[in-house]
Amino acid sequence: MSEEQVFEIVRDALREVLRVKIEKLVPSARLFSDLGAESIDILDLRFRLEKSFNLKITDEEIVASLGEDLTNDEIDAKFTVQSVAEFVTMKQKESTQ
Amino acid sequence: MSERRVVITGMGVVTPFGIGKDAYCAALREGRSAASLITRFDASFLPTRFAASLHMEDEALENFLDNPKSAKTLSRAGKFAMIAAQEAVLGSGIDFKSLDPYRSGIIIGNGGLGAWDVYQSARAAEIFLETATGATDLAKVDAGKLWARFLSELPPLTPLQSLPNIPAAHIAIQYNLRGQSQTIATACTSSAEAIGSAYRVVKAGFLDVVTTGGTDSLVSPNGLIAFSALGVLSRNNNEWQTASRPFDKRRDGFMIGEGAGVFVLETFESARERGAKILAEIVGFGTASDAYRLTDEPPDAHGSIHAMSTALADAHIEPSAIDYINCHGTATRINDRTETFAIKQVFSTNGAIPPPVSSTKSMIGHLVAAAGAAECAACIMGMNGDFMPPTINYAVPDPDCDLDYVTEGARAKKLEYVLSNSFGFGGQNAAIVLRHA
Repeated sequence: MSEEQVFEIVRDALREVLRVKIEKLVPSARLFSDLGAESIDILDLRFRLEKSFNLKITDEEIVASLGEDLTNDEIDAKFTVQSVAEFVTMKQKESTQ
Repeated sequence: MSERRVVITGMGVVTPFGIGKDAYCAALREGRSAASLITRFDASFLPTRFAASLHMEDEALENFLDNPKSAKTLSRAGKFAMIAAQEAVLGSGIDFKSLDPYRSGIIIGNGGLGAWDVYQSARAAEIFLETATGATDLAKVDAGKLWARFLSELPPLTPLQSLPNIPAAHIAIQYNLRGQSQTIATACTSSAEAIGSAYRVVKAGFLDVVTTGGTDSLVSPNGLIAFSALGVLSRNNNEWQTASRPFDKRRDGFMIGEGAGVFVLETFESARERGAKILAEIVGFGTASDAYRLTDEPPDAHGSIHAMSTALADAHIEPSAIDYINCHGTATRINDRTETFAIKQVFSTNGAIPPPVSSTKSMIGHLVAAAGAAECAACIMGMNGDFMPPTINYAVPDPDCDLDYVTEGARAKKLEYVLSNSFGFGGQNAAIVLRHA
């Protein structure tokens, strides 16, 4: 699956999770600050990504992929649409190894 | 704290007739039935195959939500509540941003049985069938495997849809209501108790504005199964168009309905100061528990009598001042007989004739946790439109039910004071007295 394909599926999942217009789901958009996410949305996102990509993902994994020992502000800054797509790509590679 | 006058300045409804006040008011005035055969799911296995359904799928309801994301954690009933709240707040003209948020609150009546809805039921059945493949009897189904599948297959936000307080929480978030947020679950009295509690909170000065009412949706497989098991639904499938027959000798139980009613309550002074249109004043509330049996009403009707009597005393009026009573009037044999008896005990003192009464459940069915709210809305529409909503489908008198049930269609009449009754499984009784604004 190409990175473009992954991005499109991630974007569709985020559109369902956050119920925002697709135009807002640009790679740099921050999930919390720009798109209004709350913690339950990340649970919802995990569930949808598992189904869409046939992956097993733990609750903490998505945020943990952003880096270790981050402050809330750092998580907010790094947690973007693009970061979710990169996380999925990484998980896909792991699962094929 | 001194007692304050409490008025209703906003009203929103979702009923089987559609979204909004206009559809409901027109149907009440015309004496129309909302009965229809159940089509949202296959009801052929049920002993009752009709209901007062709102013919609108959840996806369509989502288009009415100001905050689309709330749809994910609102059950069908929750969506009703939010849509009704939006209509109520908009109509009230209130600007919550201009108020102290800690002086605004929410008290909502909600059920819970309906949260596990049609789609979740269907998905649960699929999972069960897949997991149980090959098992020849229930005891051989691997329960651990079954629960593991539920854990991995059911969307993680499903539990939030099932929590009864989530509609109130969403409304509080949407309007920044930071005072008391409560959900009342007293079965069929839930919303009447919520409105009564909200009235008391504003009257006593604990809060200045309370959004209140109730919501429920039991036109679902589990809702129908639950009430069928309890034997309280009409099974008159052959005459479903006219099967909801409160006070009629032929009555055989209620028709289930769905919907919500939400009101904005504030003080008379604040409504006057901001020039708001007052829809009605709440002047009395009475509540009492039968403390008798779970689903039987006591033969002497002490709970409903006490609720009505204390509501009248709270309103500082004599029984003869009441122009119309909106009955609980479910169309079960016991309710209609006992309620008739109770009304006569309260309103026939010194040879007086009780006021005309009706059951709007004949038209919209039983909205359960939303019943009291939908019925208060009917009372307000009647007061502001100078009519009593009728009891439709009435044809054969019952000697035990001998009041004036407004059976000829809506009756034109100026209404000054009206009383609304709500009773519920568990023995709760609530009565609300409203006055024309």
